[in-house]
Amino acid sequence: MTDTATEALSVVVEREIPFPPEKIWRALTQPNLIEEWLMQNDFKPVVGHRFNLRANWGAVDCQVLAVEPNKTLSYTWAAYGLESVVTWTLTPTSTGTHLRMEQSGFRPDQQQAYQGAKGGWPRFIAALEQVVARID
Amino acid sequence: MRRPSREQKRRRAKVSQPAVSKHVGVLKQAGLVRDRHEGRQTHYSAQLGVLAPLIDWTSQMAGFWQSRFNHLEDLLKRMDQ
Repeated sequence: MTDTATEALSVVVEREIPFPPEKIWRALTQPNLIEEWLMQNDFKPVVGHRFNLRANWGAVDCQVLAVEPNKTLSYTWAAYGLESVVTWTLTPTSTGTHLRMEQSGFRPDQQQAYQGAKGGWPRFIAALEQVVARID
Repeated sequence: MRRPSREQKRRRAKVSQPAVSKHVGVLKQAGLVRDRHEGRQTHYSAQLGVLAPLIDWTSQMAGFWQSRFNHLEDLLKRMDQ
């Protein structure tokens, strides 16, 4: 029942940060601050807003999906065939904030490469075996 | 049909035995193929699981986000001042 072509994968990074959610929220949502730790951008904390994250290696196309100040922020993240969603969750703790980032999605071109590799390798090996058998 | 001679077979293969051995050796070393001996023949099978890290974008992004978290923490410290 596993359909690798539509299976979503996700990355989760979590950290305890010794600062309150309000301060982290500013770093996550103010363009000049986002630029300092992530990338150049034209971000606005407005649902539906489309923006780019730009680096010397290329750009990421994004759209804001959810904004709940100091609590959660979610936006799409599309780059190099990767269609994904990045969701930030801020939970206050006694010493600061538990910051969680989850990126989930899948990469169609890599799935294609994977399917291609899966089909290609046995053919390659079969051809190799024939060559080896011929020259015994 | 007459069985081709060893020399004919080799010419058809257009690759020398040492060359084949060398390439198969590299693939084996990389863990990409496994061999099974049967008489004078050797059967090779592909180890597809080895390719999994190449198609898993998550490991790449995990490294990216870890480094961004570091930058974010550095920024938060600077903002404190």
